[in-house]
Amino acid sequence: MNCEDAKPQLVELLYGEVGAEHRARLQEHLAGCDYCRQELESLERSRQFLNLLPARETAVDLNNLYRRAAARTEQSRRVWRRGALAACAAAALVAGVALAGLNVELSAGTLVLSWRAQPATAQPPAPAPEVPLPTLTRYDRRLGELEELVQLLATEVDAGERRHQRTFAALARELVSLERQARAGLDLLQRDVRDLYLAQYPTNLTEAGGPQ
Amino acid sequence: MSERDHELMRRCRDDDAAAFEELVRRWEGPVSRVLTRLAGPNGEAEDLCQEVFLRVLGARNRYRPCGAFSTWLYRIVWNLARDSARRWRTRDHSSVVQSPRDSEACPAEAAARQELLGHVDAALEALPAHLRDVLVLKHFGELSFVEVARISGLPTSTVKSRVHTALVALRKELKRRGIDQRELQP
Repeated sequence: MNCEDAKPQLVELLYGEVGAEHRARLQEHLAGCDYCRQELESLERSRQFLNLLPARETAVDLNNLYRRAAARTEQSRRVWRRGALAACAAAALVAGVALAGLNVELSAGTLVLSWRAQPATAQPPAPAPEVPLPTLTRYDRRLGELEELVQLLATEVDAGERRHQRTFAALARELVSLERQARAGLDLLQRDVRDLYLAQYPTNLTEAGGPQ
Repeated sequence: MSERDHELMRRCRDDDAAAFEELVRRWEGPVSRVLTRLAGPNGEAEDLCQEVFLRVLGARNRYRPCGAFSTWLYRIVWNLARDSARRWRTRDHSSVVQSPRDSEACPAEAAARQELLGHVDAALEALPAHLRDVLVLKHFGELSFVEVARISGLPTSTVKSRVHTALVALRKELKRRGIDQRELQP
């Protein structure tokens, strides 16, 4: 084994990840190569400096985590509901355009809905035909039905949102109450432990501050 | 250990809160040890630690036990930490080591040690991000080179090379700061 082969394996040796077969050959090379041995020692010193650093650990607040998870789920559902409502409204509009002959235009920032004009024919010009009243009534009725459908969907979605809000509010109150009970229980327990300890090991401090 | 982690995740899929809390208790320490070095000051690390387990909870139905649970978990840690570190390091480049609360009351040895730790921390922070992140994952995450490669998406040979280069650079930076091996003596 030469230095070029040994060098990439030094860091594996440092962290104990060299297989037994390679380790023997690497150790044999190191025994006879000052450069690689010094390189390994330098790496080991760096590792020891890193080992000096304190382990910074934090604990996860599970109550807060569950609250955030519930909030995130609710937000996701709201997004889905709004998307579903928008899709339904769009579908109703498309149905209105396809079935009821509704004309949709966007003009100067305003959505304009109007009845589609009759297509022009090759016949000689004739007086503008009057749309018979029964046909207009039928189209009006269809548009009204579509409007009612959209209103119903919006009402249903709002009712569902309010129900979920009440449920999550109740859950949040329950969580807060549980946390309060747990803290009260812990305080009582700590007090009992302290009383037991004092009963077992009564101290009578002198002026010097030590027990008698 | 990893087989039990898979079992706990399977129970999490069935909305078993006790299984999820066991996973959190088991992994919050190792995860936060890596996050505090990858992501920046402790304040961010606490939020990120919670965000890691929020994502574990949210992804429980999509989890599939192909590979070690630790690899899947640390991949979440890696992605979150890098995003956070990009935000943090554009704001503040000062050292993250906190001075003792009562520095006036510390004996001289403790103050000297704190100063040494400050230098080591600063030297680690001074490393280029692509070297530091891999070194932190390897050293503080106590993961194998292969696991670090899977988590970071790098070839194993690149991981080994970066860890080697990072340790050499760390040593040079400490030497530049006047810290030598005698500081390692107890």
